Amino acid sequence: MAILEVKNLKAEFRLDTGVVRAVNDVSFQVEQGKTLAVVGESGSGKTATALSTLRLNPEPPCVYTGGEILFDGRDLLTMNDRELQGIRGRGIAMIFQDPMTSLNPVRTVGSQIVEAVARHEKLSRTDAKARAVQALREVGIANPEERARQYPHQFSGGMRQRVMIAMALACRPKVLIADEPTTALDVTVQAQIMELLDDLKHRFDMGIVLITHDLALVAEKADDVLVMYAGRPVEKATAQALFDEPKMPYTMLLLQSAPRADRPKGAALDPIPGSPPNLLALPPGCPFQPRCFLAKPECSSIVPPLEFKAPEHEAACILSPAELSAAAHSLTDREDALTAAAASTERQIS
Amino acid sequence: MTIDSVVAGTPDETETTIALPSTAPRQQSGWRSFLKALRKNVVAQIALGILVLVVLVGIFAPLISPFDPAAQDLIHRLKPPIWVPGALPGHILGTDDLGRDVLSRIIYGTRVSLLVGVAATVLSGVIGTVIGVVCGFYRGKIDALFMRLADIQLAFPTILLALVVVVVLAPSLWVVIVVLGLNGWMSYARVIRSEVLSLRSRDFVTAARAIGDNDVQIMFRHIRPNILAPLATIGTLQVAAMIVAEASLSYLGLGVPPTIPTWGGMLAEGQLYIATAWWIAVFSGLAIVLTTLSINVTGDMLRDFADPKAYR
Repeated sequence: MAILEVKNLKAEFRLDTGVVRAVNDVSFQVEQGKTLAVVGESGSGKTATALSTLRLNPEPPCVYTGGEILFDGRDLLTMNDRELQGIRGRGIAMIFQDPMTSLNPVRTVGSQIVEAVARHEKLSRTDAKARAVQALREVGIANPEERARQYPHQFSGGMRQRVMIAMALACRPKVLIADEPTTALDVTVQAQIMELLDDLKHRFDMGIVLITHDLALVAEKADDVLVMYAGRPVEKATAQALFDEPKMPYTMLLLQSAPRADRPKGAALDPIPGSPPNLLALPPGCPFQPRCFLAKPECSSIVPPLEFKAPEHEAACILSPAELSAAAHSLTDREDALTAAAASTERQIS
Repeated sequence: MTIDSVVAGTPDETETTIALPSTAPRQQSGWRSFLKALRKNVVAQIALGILVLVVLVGIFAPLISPFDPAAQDLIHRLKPPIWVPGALPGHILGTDDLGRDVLSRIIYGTRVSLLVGVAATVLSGVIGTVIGVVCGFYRGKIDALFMRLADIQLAFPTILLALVVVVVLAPSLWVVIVVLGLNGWMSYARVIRSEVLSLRSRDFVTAARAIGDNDVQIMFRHIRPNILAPLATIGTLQVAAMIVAEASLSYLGLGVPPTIPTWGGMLAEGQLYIATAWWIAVFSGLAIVLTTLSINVTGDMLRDFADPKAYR
């Protein structure tokens, strides 16, 4: 059974300039020992979804207008502050995008972890300190005793993210929400952090919600994928199925736009035309329709719901599975042709 | 070389590197690094020296003052300091219009100035910080209420308000402290509020919430340590300002009762004789300037020191 189940969650920000529906009818499940990836462009509601799951959005302006967040069968949306604080950290923990700003700059790293450790358990000072050092060791920080006495600015970015992970895992949460945990880090450190998360996931049998826009990371680490666009889920499938054959034009273009090593050198990237819609003024109908290469006239009047296009593969599009399949193939064929053509020109030159 | 370059990748690999000595700077004990920071800063040394001297003088006033500060000697009134022709032996800084020893009065005046300065600052600091943190953290109506109150009080001349209260309540040392204390909270509240406004939306506050901190824990554990530096800065400036404010009230004759010698009171008395007996006003004024200046310089140094990110 899923440890965390979000059902039809709706959260909106009521701003002076209008209402932003940042989380619009989002559902997903997280199982222990599995990784769910939430992907999408900037501003597609990934982070808002992550924060909503722990009810960390500032209220106001954020209002949760519907749905359920079931953790262990209990709904977070109906809990009071005290109950919520019991879930945060111990049930569901979160790490953030920028490890440079997620630690309090004027307090030692150790004291911050001690707090996280002592939060939900009554521990003596020495025990809590020992646990903090242990937590630092678990995330691969050398000299944990000494490092615990230092301030965040004495740590590099990767080390700080390790500290954040140590803090998040101090209370052995069942679910870890990682909001773009490697975006601010360089590639080698990125790999180390992801390895670490993977390792800890297996060791503690955690469920991970990985918020990211790095498709390579998703392909490598995720079991399931939720694609978001303009605050809505637009495709939901296992990672395998999604990368094999995306069922939503947006995902197709998203996969297409990612840089690939097998493309010839110097080949231009293939970005999705246009830009994500303004959430304050969504286009009528399907929010992706203005940028969609398969758009039909009906698209601007119907908001397609998420529906099954294949077993365990949902997508929000009015096209039939056959049409989508054909589109996906034509895209990959075009890609292959381009690659082949470029490769042959390259051969001729040399 | 940082730890990062030593630790390569997976936790398994790092197990072997744990024994490596860390090259990161060692944490020094607070006191030792404080002395180290002080050694580099000559101006702060002088300021701190003066400040320590002033505090000691205040504490040991009865032991070191050469005369009773209230003892009048009308025959030897307005005698100049000892290095000026016509001086009376023993009265190092001369005598005032009632023949009282200027040095002894300045020594005793130290007590009043320090007491009022520190007590009023602590009072206004506590009030201002609490209001500032609560307003900045919760915003909304409570914030609007207190900030408008602060605006009103800032628009009203402090000295005038203090005068009214002191006149109504009859001057005493404690009335002066409370009046000045209630008058100084606005600058704390505004600065702290704006600090808190930016702090509350910082990632580490969200991160603290994410591991289950409640509002009070966030305010105490995450907000408080971050506002100590601005607090120290305003605090020291305030001590100096309070000393001047007390002197101003005494100068206007509405500070502490005239039987207690104060720097401000002496300045006021000396003003009448500034043309003929400059020493009364000059030395009491000098005491005010030196003390407030030393406090400000020391406060600046403390602020730099309190910031863990400052290079040292």
